[in-house]
Amino acid sequence: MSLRSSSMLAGALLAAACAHKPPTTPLASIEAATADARRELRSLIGEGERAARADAVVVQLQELLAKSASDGYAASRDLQAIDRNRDATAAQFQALQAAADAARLAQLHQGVALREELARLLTAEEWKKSADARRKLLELGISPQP
Amino acid sequence: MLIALLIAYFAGSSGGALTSQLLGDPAKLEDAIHHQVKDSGRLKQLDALVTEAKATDKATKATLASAVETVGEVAARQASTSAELEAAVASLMAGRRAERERDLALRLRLASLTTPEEWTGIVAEIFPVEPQGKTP
Repeated sequence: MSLRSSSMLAGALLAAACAHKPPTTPLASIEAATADARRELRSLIGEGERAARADAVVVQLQELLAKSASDGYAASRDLQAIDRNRDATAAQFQALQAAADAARLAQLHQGVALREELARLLTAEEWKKSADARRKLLELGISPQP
Repeated sequence: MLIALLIAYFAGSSGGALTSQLLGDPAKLEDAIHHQVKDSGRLKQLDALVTEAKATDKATKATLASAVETVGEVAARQASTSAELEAAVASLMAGRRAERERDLALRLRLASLTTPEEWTGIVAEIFPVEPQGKTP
């Protein structure tokens, strides 16, 4: 298993979830999945201020996902450089992991806030329709892997 | 798709394992060890280490799959609170930290059981190309 990272997880899920031609990189997967989500939102909510606000949240979520994927890739690449060294110490691994964790935690709070805003903006019916679409993906065997 | 996007973010936000990638595929590691290490005494110890890595890998995957599923369920439920979601992600992160600690101990033992030449050969088999670029 090479370069294990959050970008791999997100990329695999999103690539599989896109109905059209599968994107070739995690960042392309995120872009394609976000475009799908924005289309879905327009069909659920239509136009207007609420739709515009929800759309803006999804765009912010896309930026967060892309940052998370890039950071995860960089951390994984740096970790591999340490891993190649036979004499690497536990402290070297742990320092890199701690820095990556701190960055993730900071981003996580932003993600939680964005999700909360979306949950407020969408009606129960709109949320349910999107969740049903997600269930269809799961029924096709598409789900996040650890 | 919107919910899938949220789940992808939160399931991924706990981070990949960020653990030794030499142990990522224990079967591949086993092959590399057998190609590079000829000393039967150390080979026996290394085989035991790979067996342990395989067992750990299987147990970890099962635990993490359950934690990922929980994060997905919480993220997908509109009524979930931020505290519930953060707690689910924290649980997943704790699982990943435990995985790292186990893998790190195995990785350090692996290094101690190989000569510099053997190590170079093993690394070359597992990481044939150095990662390039700044973006995934």
